[in-house]
Amino acid sequence: MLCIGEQRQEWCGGVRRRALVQAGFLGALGLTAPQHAGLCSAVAGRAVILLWLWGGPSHLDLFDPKPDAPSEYRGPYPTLETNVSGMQVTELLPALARRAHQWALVRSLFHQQNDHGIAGTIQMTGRSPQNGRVHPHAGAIVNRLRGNPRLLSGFFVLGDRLQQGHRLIQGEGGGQLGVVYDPLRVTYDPVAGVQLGEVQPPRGVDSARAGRRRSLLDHLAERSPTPTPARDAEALGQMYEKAFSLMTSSEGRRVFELEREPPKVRDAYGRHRFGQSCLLARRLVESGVPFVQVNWSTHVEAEEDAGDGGWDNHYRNFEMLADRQAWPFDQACAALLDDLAQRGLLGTTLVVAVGEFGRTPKINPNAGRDHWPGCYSALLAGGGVRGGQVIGASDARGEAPAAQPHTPEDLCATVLHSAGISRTDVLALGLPVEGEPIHELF
Amino acid sequence: MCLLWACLLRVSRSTSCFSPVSCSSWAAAARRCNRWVLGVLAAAVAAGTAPGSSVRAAPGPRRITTDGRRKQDLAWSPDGRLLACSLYHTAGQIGVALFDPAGRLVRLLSTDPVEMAPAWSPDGKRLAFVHVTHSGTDGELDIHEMDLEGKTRRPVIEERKAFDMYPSWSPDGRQLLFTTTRDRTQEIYVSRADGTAPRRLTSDPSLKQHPCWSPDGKEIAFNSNRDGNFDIYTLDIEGQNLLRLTRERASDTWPAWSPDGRHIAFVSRRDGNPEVYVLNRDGAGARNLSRAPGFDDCPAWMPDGRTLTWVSDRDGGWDVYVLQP
Repeated sequence: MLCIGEQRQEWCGGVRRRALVQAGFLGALGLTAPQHAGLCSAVAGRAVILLWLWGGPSHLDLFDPKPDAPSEYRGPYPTLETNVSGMQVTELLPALARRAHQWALVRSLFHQQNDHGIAGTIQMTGRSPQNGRVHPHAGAIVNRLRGNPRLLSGFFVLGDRLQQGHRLIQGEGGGQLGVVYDPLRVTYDPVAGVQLGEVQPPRGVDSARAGRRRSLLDHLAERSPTPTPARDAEALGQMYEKAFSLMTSSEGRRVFELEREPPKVRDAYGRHRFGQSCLLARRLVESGVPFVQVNWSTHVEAEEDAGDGGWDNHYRNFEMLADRQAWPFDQACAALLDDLAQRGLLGTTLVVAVGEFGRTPKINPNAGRDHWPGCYSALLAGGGVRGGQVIGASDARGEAPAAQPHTPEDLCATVLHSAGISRTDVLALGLPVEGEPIHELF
Repeated sequence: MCLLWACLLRVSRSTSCFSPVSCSSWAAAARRCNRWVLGVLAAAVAAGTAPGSSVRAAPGPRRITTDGRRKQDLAWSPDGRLLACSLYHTAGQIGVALFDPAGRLVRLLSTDPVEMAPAWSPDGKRLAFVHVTHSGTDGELDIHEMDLEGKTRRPVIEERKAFDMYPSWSPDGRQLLFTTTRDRTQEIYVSRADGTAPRRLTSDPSLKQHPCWSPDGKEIAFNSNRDGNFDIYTLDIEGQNLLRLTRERASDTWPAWSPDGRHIAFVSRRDGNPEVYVLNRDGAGARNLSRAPGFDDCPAWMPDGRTLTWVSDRDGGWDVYVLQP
């Protein structure tokens, strides 16, 4: 173990990124000053905001209502006409319904994994784990190919490591691309505000002390029995240089300072964790970060199941949706689309809202819905997506795709396509490619 | 850095829109108009709605809590001196809390991670509530009761592999109303106050929520989707004479019977967002009382029968408002 300040980190087989980041006092230096200076050029780049609805929201009760299905399927929430003729959602999404011209739905996603963790890995990486190897997250690929070299990271996750029960899930990192392309994590707490997490400087470490730690770090890295691969070492070195050169700069921290936003804007997103995280995502994208994932929750489970409000509503599904889940999602997602559009960023920023699967069309004996990978929906907006359209369709009960079936691999390919990354680009990284972009969206 | 974090903390906690900024904005508007009368009125409105103020500025709901934390399941004590509710008090934790009529937190009664949906015994000495027992990360919902200190607790309704919710004491204190999934559909049951002799009142595959007693103890009101979407229904205590009170193509939920038995308050989405409505006992005369663009839900009558209370996010946080309709 390597003990650096208050942090104890493993030291075997190379240098762990988290330890290096903290030792290096990257604290609060998510972005560089030159990057802010070059804001205009950064805005021109393409970006992706993935709203990760962890736990698996019910497609029937939100995006794919089935008013003519039998009562044990359709659920209690009536359909709501959107501002696009013929497009409907349920009454739980009134704000998004008024903006349907901005977004599209894919109602025919499916796969075969009923487990949150595996399904989540597939959805985020676009591929099943093969022989224990986990494919890189789409954000890591975007970071590798489209990341601005002036940025500390081109891939942020707003939220803690995703968990299923007490198990951390795979697929949130750089995979074969290396830990350098893991996301940087920032969290928002309604009371404590923005928490910089792993880039937080340890208490009591000032810039002089950080400099001494940097020297120690260099020394240790040189003496590491298993040197970091050359490519990673170079990337890590660049990262540290950027961070140290700006260690005392307040410029780089500005992007995290939500209080710079007018109260009206913050209110529009909602003063809850998801809403303020969506606002932070917009600020990051505006500053040039090409991929931001906003985690709805850390756990799949609701508070009643020792979680923190995930969409895994095996019971009380209809109370959870109405009381705790649908309204903050509707509020924050609508505000995000408005904000991006107002700033001229929606055309270049793809917003995707999706979970790892849908939920059983048939209501279970506990007044809930269980896991259902056989058919589910995703909402996509911006980034070249034509709003006001529905791609694919589910059958009469929402149990299976009835037209234009698509897989998580297709959705992942669509995300990369919108980010300007081709199949050839991915193959050139030595990564296999599965799935095809859903071209009808564009 | 300390300054930065102090600043972040301060801003993140200032969820109220009734800050000095809003007061000064009103004053500035008045100066621009050069009309001192408007200035005086504006100041009065701002002051009347400021946290802790007891001044009622204008007709309309008056805010009594100011902490902004999510609250649900409001229930006034029979003497009107305490308001019980479910309070989202810490990340991932929901507990039963007591507030005074001025909106001050009196006490958080729950020590377990999740307890919610309190209901007062008619003598005002006990609360029935939903208690969650964790097994790993699975929760099981049962109904317990406790005293007002949260010390003496005991289970009342415990059915393994079933989810028991929405407790409501009968006006004479002898019976307890609740919903349960023990029959593999969500049904309304009534039992003795100690949880014995459970008796099923409903029997159909629809969802049923928020059952509550009429003041005379002869009927119950609840919401169900038996005819499509959620509507408000009444039923006598023998499970007969079902009456549908609302017929909108939008959800009507959270019924709350007025103490005089003449009205039922409820939440409706018929205007596109959750609003607090009240209708007559026979289902006629529905009218919107909340009239705000955000979220208004969880209505509860005060014992005086003239004052209605609910939770609203109209000022940014989740607070309790009162109105005399």
